[in-house]
Amino acid sequence: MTFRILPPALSLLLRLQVRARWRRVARGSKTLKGKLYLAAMIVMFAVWLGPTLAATFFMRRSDFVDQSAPLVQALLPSSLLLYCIITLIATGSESGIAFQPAEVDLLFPAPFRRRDLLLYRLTGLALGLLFTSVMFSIFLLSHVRYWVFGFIGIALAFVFIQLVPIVLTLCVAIVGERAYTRGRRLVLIVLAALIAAGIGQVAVRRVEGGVIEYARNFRSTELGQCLLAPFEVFSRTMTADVFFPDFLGWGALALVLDAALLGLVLRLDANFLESSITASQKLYQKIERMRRGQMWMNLSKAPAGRWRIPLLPRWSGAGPIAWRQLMSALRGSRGIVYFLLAMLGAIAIPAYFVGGSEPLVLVGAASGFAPMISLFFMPQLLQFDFRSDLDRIDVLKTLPASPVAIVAGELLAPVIFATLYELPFVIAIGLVQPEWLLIVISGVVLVPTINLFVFAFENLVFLWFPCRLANLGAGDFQAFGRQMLVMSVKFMLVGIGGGLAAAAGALAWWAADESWPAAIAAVWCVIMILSLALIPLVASAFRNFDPSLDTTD
Amino acid sequence: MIEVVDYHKTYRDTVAVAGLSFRVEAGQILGLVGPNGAGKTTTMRAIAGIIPATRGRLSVAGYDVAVDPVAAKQRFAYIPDDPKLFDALTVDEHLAFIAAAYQVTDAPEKSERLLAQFELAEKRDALAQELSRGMRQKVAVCCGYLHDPVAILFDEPLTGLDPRGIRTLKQSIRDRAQGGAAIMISSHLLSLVEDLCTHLLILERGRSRYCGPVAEARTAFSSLSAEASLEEIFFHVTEGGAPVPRVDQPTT
Repeated sequence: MTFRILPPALSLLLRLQVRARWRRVARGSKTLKGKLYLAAMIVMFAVWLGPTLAATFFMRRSDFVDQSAPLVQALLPSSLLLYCIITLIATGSESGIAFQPAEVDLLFPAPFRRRDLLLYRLTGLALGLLFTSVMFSIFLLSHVRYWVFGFIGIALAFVFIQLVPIVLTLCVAIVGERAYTRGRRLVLIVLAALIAAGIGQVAVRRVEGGVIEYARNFRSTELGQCLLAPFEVFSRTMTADVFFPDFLGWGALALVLDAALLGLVLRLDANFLESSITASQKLYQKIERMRRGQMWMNLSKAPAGRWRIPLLPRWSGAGPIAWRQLMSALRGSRGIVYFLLAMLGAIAIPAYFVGGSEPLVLVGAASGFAPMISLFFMPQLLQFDFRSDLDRIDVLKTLPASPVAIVAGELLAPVIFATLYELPFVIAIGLVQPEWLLIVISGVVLVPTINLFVFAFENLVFLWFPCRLANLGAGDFQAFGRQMLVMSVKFMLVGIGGGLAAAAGALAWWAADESWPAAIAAVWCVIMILSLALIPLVASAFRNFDPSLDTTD
Repeated sequence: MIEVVDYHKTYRDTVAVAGLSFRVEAGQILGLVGPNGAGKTTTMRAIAGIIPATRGRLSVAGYDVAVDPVAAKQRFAYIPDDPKLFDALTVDEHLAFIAAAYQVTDAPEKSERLLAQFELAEKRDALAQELSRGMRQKVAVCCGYLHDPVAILFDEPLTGLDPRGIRTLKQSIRDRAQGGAAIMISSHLLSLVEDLCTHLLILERGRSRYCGPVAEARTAFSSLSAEASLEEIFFHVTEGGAPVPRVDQPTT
């Protein structure tokens, strides 16, 4: 009799799925676009991992491992604890064991035991974690004594962190969702209270020296030791100096921790199938939202309020389109609003204290943050334009309106929303400056214009390189490569546009006897001309867009 | 072949199905009809062992779905509405996996036959994501038929199929029933039920309103004429126009 962990059919399915990943890469590489994306991916990996690998091969490892060891040992357990808490918060009441829709349809009615399905899911998870662990272990290469120790340690840590929500999911099936939701909340509250108490203990000691010292001191408190104990085991496995007794001892302990959790998972043997279906549906809806570019929208839940705005005038067909997008944005953006408010708070509160004493520091910080938020962050967040209409492009094409009007209608909602978010931020910074009036007027004039440029450009790139954002898996090299390539092109062209505007502003400032209003007017003119020039280009891209050719590669 | 006794399903305070009992014997084709939210898919999924029953006994080929799920599942096939396939796997790979899952011995020959029957032979190396909605449906049907199940559960089987596909599927359902399979079809297409089914189960708000042979449905309601169509019967029953006879007896 042979002992098998998985039924042969499920092992076959896993093998087929691994093969399918590679086939996808191979098939994607047959086209020029696919080759380009793959090359971009390789370049990005080289840029990301190259310095670490070079430092590892050409420097004396022992020197910098000795230097970074205290830092890594102080930060690693706390980072793993933080990651575990984030995973726990992000995991809904049932999403610990989520299957693909195809798995629900084909595996659930098939003759497998629940335990087989659970083991299949865990094996799939472990295969995915292998890839992630290899990446992280390379990243940690310069901070650990041996790569293999780092790899095994991080892989065991990831397994532990992934098993925690699965154990909780099985508890759902046993104790019922309501009791679980209350229990989970209680666990999180207790955890938060313990961490707050630990941080409080550190604060009382008046620690100086930044995050590392805080982490080190937190680790030395009783509460910190208690909370970090399991993560300390994984950290020690990664940073072990010698095979015996360090690595073998800590590694065995880490393995015991994972095995205990795995044993618990299998022992619980709860009927998770029903909750898994709900979790899988949520996951599928999430993927569908991502594909439509609405990752942040709470479409799975009923909108909090049926807010309504009056119908806009027709404006040659642009009005109804803009109205529809504004309504979608208004009703579906609860998640975005919470996220942006949290971010605003995180930026505004420190800015208030810093700005009061050193206003110039604030301007410097804002000039660094603002372009990143405005040019790269907001466009990803506010996808109330062609990107959310990918499945409806054919409907848009049948509307009795010119492409320019349709483009104008599509761009209005994101520009208004981005401006409404950014303007108070700019005004708040401006008001604590001596030249407040100039800054406020500049903000009012420039922010909507910059947003028009940014969103017009974003939509142009999207219509040229349409892409459904699927859930990027470990083997989706081309998809990663495409993201990198588009990002680079965006950086480059936004840089050129920004450079032209800055040059015009500087010229006007110099020509008009160091006049700031003249400089701002010149900058506004250049950005406005560029934005208006983009609209016919976006319209042309929309006209030429062929929905039947829209593919993920 | 398929037996459901006193099946209840509740979600918190909502009763999805209440006290449902029926049998589908070998060779019978049972049409499961009812308005949206009547509990049709919930019943199918419970028989398929995907969701547990709150109360009651559901069995396939004598095997209780809750007590001996693996044995029961080995004997039936469930083809959901809008079946999801593994996007990155080919049609052939789907069949290979199903053959391994159900331990089908002569899988290559059967796969060939099914692919030819459903006109998928040319698509055998195509990825699921490259297939149209109708073709995905055909693949799901092929996967369901591969292990020659003794009970087959269809949820809206005709969705997305072209006329030839519809004809092929209907004929295959008749053939399977004649071959001794017990078949359940959940559908809103009353013409399909009228055309294919030998028996009828009308559900409304989780309760059985009629369960019995299609031919007897007309005579079961005294206020309906002998020529009443299934559509007329359906609306008569679900709109509560007349006293509803006691119908929860298992079919014979």
